Amino acid sequence: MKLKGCGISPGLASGTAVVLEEKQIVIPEDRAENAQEQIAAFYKAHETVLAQYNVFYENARQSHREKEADIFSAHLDILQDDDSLVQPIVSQIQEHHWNAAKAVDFQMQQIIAVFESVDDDYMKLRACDMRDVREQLLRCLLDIQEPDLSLLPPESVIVSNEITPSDIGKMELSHVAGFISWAGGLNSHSSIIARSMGIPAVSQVENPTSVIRAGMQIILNGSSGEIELEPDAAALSKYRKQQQELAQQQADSLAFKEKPTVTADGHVLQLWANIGTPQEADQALAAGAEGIGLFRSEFLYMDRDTLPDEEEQFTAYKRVVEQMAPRPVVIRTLDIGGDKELPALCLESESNPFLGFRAIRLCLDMPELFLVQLRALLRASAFGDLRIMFPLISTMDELHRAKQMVEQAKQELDARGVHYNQNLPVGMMVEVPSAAIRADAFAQEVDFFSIGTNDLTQYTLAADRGNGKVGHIYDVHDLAVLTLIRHTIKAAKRHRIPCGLCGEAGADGRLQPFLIGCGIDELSMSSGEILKTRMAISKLNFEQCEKIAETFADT
Amino acid sequence: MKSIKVTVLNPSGLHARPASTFVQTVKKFKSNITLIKAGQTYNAKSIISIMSACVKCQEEVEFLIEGEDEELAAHAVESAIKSGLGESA
Repeated sequence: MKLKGCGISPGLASGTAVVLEEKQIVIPEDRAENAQEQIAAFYKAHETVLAQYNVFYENARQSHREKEADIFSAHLDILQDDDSLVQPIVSQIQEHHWNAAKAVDFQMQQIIAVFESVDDDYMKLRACDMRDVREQLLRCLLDIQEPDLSLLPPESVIVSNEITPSDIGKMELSHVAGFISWAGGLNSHSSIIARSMGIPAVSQVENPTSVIRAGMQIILNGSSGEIELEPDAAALSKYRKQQQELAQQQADSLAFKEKPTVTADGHVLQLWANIGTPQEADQALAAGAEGIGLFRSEFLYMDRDTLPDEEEQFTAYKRVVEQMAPRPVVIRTLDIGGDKELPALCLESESNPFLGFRAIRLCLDMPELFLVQLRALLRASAFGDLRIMFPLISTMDELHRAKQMVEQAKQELDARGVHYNQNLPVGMMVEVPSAAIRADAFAQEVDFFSIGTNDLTQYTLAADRGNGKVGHIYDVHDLAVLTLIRHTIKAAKRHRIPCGLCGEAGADGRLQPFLIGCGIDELSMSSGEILKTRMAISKLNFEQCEKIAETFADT
Repeated sequence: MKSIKVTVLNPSGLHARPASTFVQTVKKFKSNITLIKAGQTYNAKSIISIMSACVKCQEEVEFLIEGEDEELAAHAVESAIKSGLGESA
């Protein structure tokens, strides 16, 4: 039987279902004859749950799972809220002679209602926190048995209506093959944790605990959101074949790990990795990346209510730069905007966010924010080959102002006597058509280009790839886009600056001959694509690629 | 009773970590401390209450402080908010 949900953490997995039942907690109505006893029971449960959260928090912190740690830290604060949680519960037991569970349920439901009533992402996350705290307290008070999640059998696929952070905190994660749930979008606590652990997950599955029974064999695809229950022999063999093909490819391409990236006739280029967090640098190295072509810095700012300070940023950048040394690491300055993506900045929502206040525009408008990042980057440049890249440059004025901010950051560090690389390369993404069109002028003002083909394609064809009605227009193979790409690379060559590419097009086997033929110096892609790309490039003939480059685009 | 008006400087508003820092600071005082935002009152010593207030950056809010140590408390509230609650600019 097939189910379809929303893929929220990519990957293919198979395993046995472990079903976490809908938490039907029945609140007893019995009057408490002895209020003191109930109060004592409450305090005891409170202490137990507090200790439990402390364990989750410490575990997360020690494993450097910062996002998880932050979530549990918030739960700890909530539990220790005397005025709104502890005292009201105690008073209700005292005054109304309620049993402890009833008092806890009443008070928590009041609180939950407040947070659920506001249509705001931050408030929804808090509502989830409150629900989790309520549940932990009640389970403890009512001695509700739950499956011992620390003793999960290997290859378990966890199925539940809502998978809470506490659930995950209790699990033996090495035995978890995947998650299936109803609640939980891309930005819920649990999906964030699933993605950071590389565990495939699917949500938006209706009534998963009724449809899926414990012990069922399941195959799930966390990228497409497809689920197959009790796969028949054919489905299982298809899955095994997919897994085998992946394994074979990986084995073949492993031979290319230490090799340089070179075509059959000796043309050399570089393959770098795109990463979104410092942890991914491990995968980049394991995949044979010759550098990092795009280190997205947004992870430092997203899904949190506070802004990262200079120390925190410096630590993250330095870690990657040192780990990759002597290989280059290109770090892109903050590239997002919009109220949903940066709760820490409480920005207004815009009617046209992709053409709006984001990326370099936001940074230039918030110099304190930008300078913190620039100082942190400069400091990290003393520890390896760090290069800075500005996103979304659309005018020469923007570029000048951004470079000016780098100078200012340098002066601030000079005043503090802090070391940095004086010759830190500063480059820009070429993703706005205006920058591609004037590539010649821009090439004289930066140390390198990196072509952002995803956004370049969207802006050039004026089509949102995520819009069902016009998504088909978005096509990086479109001649207009290829013309701009070629024009950009040639401008870089004329002015002798390196030109790389960090969009998805880099991993597109059909485009590699064209790009290489144009003279691209480096392709940056997700780590998983590097080895097979190096293998594919080893079979290309550069002269042929040059011919392809000439014919594929208008002059 | 003392009343002070302050503008929240934290880029992230009075959320999670700065809220936590703020509550730890004010809990030490005996006075009642009330946060007023858009006509609604919130208990400044309760993190749940502060979270539900959803105070954003650049928002001006009022604090009403009443009790035996209201002078000290008012001073602490003001300097805590102005200093950015542990978040650097």
